[in-house]
Amino acid sequence: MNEPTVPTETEQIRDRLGALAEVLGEDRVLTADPDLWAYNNDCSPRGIILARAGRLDEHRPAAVVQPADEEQVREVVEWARRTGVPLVPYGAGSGVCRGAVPDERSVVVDLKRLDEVIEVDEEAAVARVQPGVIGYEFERELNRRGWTMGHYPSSLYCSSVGGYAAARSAGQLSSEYGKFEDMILSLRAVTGRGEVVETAPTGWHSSDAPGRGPNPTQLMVGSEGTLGLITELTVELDEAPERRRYRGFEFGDLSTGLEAIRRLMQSGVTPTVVRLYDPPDTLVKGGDDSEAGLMDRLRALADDHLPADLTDELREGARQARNAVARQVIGRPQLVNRVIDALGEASLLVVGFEGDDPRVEQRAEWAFDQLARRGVDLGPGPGEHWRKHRFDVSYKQSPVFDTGAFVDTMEVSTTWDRLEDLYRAVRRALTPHVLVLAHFSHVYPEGSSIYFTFVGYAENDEATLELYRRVWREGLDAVAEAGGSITHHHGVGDLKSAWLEEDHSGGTELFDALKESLDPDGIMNPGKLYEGRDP
Amino acid sequence: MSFYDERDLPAPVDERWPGDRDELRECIAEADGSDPPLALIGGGEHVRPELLEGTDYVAVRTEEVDEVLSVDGYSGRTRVEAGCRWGKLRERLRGEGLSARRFALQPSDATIGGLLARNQPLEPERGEGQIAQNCIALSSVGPTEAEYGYLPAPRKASGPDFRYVYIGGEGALGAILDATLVTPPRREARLIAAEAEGFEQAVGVHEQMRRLGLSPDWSYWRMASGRLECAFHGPEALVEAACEDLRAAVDTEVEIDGTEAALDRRRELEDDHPARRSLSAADRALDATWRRSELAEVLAMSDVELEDVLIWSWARRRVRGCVKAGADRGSLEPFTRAAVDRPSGDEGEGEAWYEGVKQKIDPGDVLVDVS
Repeated sequence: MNEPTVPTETEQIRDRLGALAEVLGEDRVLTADPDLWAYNNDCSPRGIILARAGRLDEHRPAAVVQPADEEQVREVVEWARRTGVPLVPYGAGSGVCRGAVPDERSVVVDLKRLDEVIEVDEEAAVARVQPGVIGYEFERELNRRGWTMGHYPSSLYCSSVGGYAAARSAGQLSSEYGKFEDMILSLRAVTGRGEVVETAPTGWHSSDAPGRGPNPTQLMVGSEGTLGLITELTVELDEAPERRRYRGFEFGDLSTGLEAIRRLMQSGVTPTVVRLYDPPDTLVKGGDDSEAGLMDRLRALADDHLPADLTDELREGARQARNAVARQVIGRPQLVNRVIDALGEASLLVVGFEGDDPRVEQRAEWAFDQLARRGVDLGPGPGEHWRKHRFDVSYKQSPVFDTGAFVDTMEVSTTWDRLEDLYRAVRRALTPHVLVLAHFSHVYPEGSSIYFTFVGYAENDEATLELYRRVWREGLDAVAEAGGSITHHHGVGDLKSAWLEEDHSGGTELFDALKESLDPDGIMNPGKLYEGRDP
Repeated sequence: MSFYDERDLPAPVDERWPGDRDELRECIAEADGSDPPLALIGGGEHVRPELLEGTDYVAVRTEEVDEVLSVDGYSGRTRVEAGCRWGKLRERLRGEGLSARRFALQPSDATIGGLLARNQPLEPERGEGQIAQNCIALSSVGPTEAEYGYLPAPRKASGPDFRYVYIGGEGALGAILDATLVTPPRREARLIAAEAEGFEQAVGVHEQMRRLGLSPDWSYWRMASGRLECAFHGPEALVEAACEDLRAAVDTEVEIDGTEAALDRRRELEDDHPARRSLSAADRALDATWRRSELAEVLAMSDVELEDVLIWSWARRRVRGCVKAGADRGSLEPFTRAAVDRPSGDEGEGEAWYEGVKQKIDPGDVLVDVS
């Protein structure tokens, strides 16, 4: 006689999904394997490594639900409170820190059906938008009316407005427009209590009388779904730019380039785009922001020498050979880093001015003149090249993973006085393990972010995952020791949890207080932010 | 007239006078709730009188917690204790060759902590020049000895921004101990004064500036003087060109003066800033924020006899300022109704999230409750 089987946690959760199907509709409660695999990762490289290893079930959720409006979101949260099943919010899935990664005991809440641009108030220059709207679609709608949000992350085509708020995103034009937290005026969210909160403090966008207490907008922004699910955002708009001036400069070394952009940012003349590439990045990618730039170059070298009439079999053989070469290169990071370091010290700068006023040219000319005193004016070419390729990055990772290697990015920030020390400290920590490139791309009067790209390779999946963990551990330890912020615009997820107190000393107690107030049952995206573990 | 009378605040049952940030920290962290609740009072400008009405409270006066802790000219940042007065900071920056150009006009006697803690029931607007928009770090202490520190690094994506537990928090959840502000090196400046008899004319000059791509660092209009004054900072060639373009574009008389005059004028205006609690507590004055269009409408429609209108903050869509009635304050009702940060009276309730956090952070009710 067979022993009665004990239902797994996933099965127990699925037994309770009927109530949700009644509210959302049967077809909006997904439990088929292909659907669940589609939500077992965001864009985090660790998840891609797992997928490459065939470990698709490792973060497979119990179910995926797709509410259509705020009321349905509220019903989902009420269900989660009743059942104790954790919810993991999921927008477009473009995050890279595992902020939207579930497990088999949780249900993913896909918010992409909340995809309406509710209102564009042209007199107030604000827009109300639902979280599932894709950044590109939103920007296109605004542009059609002569407006812009000024938020252009490289993931523009595959990221959602709600995600921008949830993870404190930054766009490529941040030097002028700021980060997303500077653009957002207020939001609505369903908290873990199942209550709708609106953070608009005035009658400007809300008919309610102002509540008392500090404005919680900036407490919900960046909370990555751990306190509630964002259902609406009100953002500030600007007139869409009509004029653009871009220019490239080459500096003899990184220090000279950094000094040039520090002086520019403190001059009172604010560029829209500033991107200074460190010497390895200048040499390897030449201003192409795609993490795959190096791989593209290796491939191009090989492809140039392949006859056009190869059979598919031979072409596949060539691909494998090419990948083997790439692995050999990436697998010797110390050597490769040393070689690249020895090949050149020049740093490339791309700087751009955009706006709808006649002074754009004047400001640009003044800035170009200042920059030319320290560097070589390369003309508009590098800027045009960058503009053409600036959204490639989110689509070109797969060639790297295809070789058996992995690629990831670490975006940190600090004030000018510590910037070069931070840069060197992180490079020192990473170069023994991975190939490291960097650029300085979100620049402010008081400091800058540094965007490190690293590419690594190990012999097998387990070794790759261990290398990946080690790189993050040693990298963020170095960031913390150098006094930098552990993340400028990618968020935390569970990847950087262990270092959160470095940015917010005493933050755990405040987070616990917020969590207890807004999510007393602990059902909102558990295991993220302050509840995360080692990478 | 006492400090409290001048600010329309009820007198406390007792006062504490910490001398530096450590004493301020001890004052908050060691309170056990056996005394009446503590109310943090700097220059008094952030405290809403109705918060303390009918409440026995102990005033924690932060005016002696007023050191400029560090000045970093290279990164353009300055760290000050919470009780440091704006005027003291401004003059220190002037001496160090740094600039307050990113900030709107502030009352000289307001403390930095008070300006941050003041509850402003408004969404921020880009370019408004609020202190909070240029604060890159702060540290604070709560009543359970919990200290919080926000790392001084530009922007972050590391979770909720806990500075906003204290910014706008009116001291209900903890005390700001110190703050780091963005203070870039000083550049050339030009002071511009243009005739603008009415609000519409002042708006017209701003519209003209916007079309020309000019963003003044600060701007001040006073009805009684019929003048709009503003300052531009930046590279000399650019500010010169800006002034000439503006002179050519507006059809009123424009006077232009140099850097020292711009800095001196800022000092004068801030020393006599109408938002000083002691002035704005006057019966016939209303401090508020309006949409430009709505204030213009109320001014056009109103038959109220006005003594003066002063506007000291000009953002893209709204203005902040003060309206003084010739007779009694009741006649300012249309202005009150039009304000986007209109006083809520008793109609607003404490937000649920705030109540929960307050209970957790301050279980002994050591600090006054804003609800």
